[in-house]
Amino acid sequence: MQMQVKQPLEEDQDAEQQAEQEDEYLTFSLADEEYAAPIMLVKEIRAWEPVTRVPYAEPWECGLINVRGAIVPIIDLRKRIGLTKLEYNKHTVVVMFAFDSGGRERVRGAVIDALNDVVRFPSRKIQPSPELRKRKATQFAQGVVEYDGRMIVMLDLMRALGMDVEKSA
Amino acid sequence: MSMDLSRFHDVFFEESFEAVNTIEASLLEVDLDAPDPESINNIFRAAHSIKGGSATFGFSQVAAYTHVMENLLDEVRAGKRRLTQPIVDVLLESVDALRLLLSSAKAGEDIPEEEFAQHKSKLEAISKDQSSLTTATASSTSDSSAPVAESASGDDGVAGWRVVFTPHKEMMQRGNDPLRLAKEIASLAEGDAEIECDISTLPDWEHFEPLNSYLGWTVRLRQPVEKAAIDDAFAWVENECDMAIVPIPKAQSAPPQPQHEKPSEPAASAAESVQTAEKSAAPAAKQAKPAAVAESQSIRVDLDKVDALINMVGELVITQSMLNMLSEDEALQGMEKLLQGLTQLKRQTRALQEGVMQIRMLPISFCFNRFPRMVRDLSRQLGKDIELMLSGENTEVDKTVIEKITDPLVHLVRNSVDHGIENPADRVAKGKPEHGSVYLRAYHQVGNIVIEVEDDGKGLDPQVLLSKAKRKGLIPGDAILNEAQIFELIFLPGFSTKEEASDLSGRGVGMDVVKRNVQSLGGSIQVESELNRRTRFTIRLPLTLAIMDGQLISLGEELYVIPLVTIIESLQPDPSMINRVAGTHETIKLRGAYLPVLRLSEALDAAQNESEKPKPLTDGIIVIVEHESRRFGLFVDELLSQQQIVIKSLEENYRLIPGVSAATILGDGRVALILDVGGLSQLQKDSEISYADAG
Repeated sequence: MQMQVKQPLEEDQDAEQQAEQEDEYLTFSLADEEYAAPIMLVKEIRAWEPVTRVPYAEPWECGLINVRGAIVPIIDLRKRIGLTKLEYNKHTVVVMFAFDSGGRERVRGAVIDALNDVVRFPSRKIQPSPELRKRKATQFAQGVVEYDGRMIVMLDLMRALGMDVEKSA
Repeated sequence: MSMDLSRFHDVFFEESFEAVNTIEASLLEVDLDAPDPESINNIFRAAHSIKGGSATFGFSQVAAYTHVMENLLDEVRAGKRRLTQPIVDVLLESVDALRLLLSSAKAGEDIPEEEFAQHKSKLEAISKDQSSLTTATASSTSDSSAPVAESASGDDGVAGWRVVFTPHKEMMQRGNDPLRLAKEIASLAEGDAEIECDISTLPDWEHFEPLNSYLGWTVRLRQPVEKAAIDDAFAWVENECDMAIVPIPKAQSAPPQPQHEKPSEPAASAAESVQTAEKSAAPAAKQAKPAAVAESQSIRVDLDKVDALINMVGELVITQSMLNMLSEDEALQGMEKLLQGLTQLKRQTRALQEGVMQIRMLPISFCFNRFPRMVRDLSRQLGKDIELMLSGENTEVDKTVIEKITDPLVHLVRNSVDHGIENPADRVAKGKPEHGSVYLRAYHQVGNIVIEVEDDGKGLDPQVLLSKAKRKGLIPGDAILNEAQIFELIFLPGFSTKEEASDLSGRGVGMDVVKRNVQSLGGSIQVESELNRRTRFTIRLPLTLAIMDGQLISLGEELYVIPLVTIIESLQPDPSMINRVAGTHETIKLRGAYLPVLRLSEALDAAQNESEKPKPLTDGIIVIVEHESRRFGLFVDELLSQQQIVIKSLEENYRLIPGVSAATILGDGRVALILDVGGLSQLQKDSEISYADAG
């Protein structure tokens, strides 16, 4: 699913760059890798709080929390993409993403290690993810971007957050 | 000035559908031997207002259709045509056609031309039918304008009319255009008119609201137009303007005193006098208006606004219960005023919550109203004589419940009419009255609304049901069931009582679907029957889907809510009460009955210490719950408080979970899951089977 959101440039930048549409992304880290998600999908950022366990949940689903009266599931992204679990503490960050699903907003939170940056780049800079990395993580990658000398993995959010699990269920 | 009318469309459609309902209701209660002129006027006015609105908004099919309808009704209203059964039938059909036209217009499309022509031609055919014309006009068709002339009697010697017309400020906001009206009146005199504008009521610029109408007009018609034609032009704005229609006499004498009057009255009273004169022989008592419904004032509010309000009150309930928890804190003891305030807050929150929930409550008549028509049509089609008796139509229930219960009720009533009530001949042979009765009742019972569908038809035959279920392989051939259990069989998927499916009931929807629908609303359905006497379906539904009374229970660290309505009792079992079946399957003996026990921690996949032996049942609490008259025990660690809980959807952001119906938010902001006793009952049954297989 395509989830690029066109964002008009606000700041004064290189004239050459201005001619091109750039998208804004939030980057965050999981273990020693950097991941990116379109910033337009980020609803809010919260600190970790205890969740309510759900019977028969997937192992990477932490549980449910109350966000201003709505019941929202929280996903452990590390577990989801096959990394070892990190103990949660009060500095653990939860990013709440909001998707549009048939005109209705569906909200879902993801536990990450740490927030890194907000970056901008045009979508043409996204390259297919390299095949050599036969890791579980690559199945959640939409592509990779080289930015400022670092490699950022574009996350397939819908799949990483288990939105496709509901469809098959 | 052109104005975007589209934002008035919703109001137009709402009002039109209401008008259609009025027409239908009035048609159903009309007495053919002595039609009540007021109810015929009601029908006429409703049709007329739909016509006017649809013409303004450019829904040409609706306008053209209601025009034919209106003409026919006008003849009836004026006493030129008798209201006969065929006319009522065609008018009832036209009500359906009108609903169809309106729905299509609302969706922004026209219905196919042939289909439209077909509907319209039916109406036109009956309009041309001479047989129902009253003798006076039927004998001389040239005299067709007689009643009009009569109503305009005294208009002779009139050279024209002076129409003084001042719209109310809000008129344009209701989608009526004063300019269009002025033009229409002027066109009556074929242009031989002059118009004067009164600008005396124009406010200053700073007070000027562009959407308001401030002007008044005086139109002078210099043609002897019929007054009824002028009245007609104003008929659907009569409540939205001040007006006077004054004749201009032929002689140039001083004009008579302006007579202020409502335009529709002269025509209506004329029609009444014609009719009453004609029907003077009819019993006067019949003229009394049947069951005048008390009018109550109401406003239209967008449902989203109400729901937002309900959500906010839900939040308030949560905050209140949080404060309530805090108030138990030691440190606060002694602060009498604060604690008093909190108690007061609790009471007020509860009152506010009940008040807000009331907004969503509608009388069940919104659902029941369709049935008189349906039963009437069905029984005619089947050649049966059936009377439908409604009671408790004013019982209030949540709007969503009404919407979702309508289809199952339609199915049940249809079944009663089609399968339940016998043919008149069979009924007489059985010594029953020839006409059958179907009862539809609603009433409140401890936090539930109960709806009953009963008929005095042939009843359910347990032997037939049992052998059929066995033949279809729905139950084992050697199964022994009591009568209540046999009746329950009709709710099994794949069970249909009538051998050949009729086009009425056999729509591929069975009683299993009815049951599922009722259960999805958190309700239950039961059936009782006496052979050749009666069949009664009883549906119990929660009054609202947003809030319920819950029992909090704990399972280790976890908290869950059990809906209070499902709980029969809770107890700490004595060792002597506990029995094991097949080694693992636990039961509890309670007053002579053995009830299966479900360990909630197992059912909910709660983390268990593998090394630890399962806790003995005597170390916890067993909550006896009931689902569809099946009782079983839920083994939990502890019983906590009972409280009102706000039901939150799990599916909004997540998905359904087995054994769980929804979630709620506790006083401390934590999420707790609400248990689905029906789902748990199923889990328990399944585990019984797997134990049996293992043993």
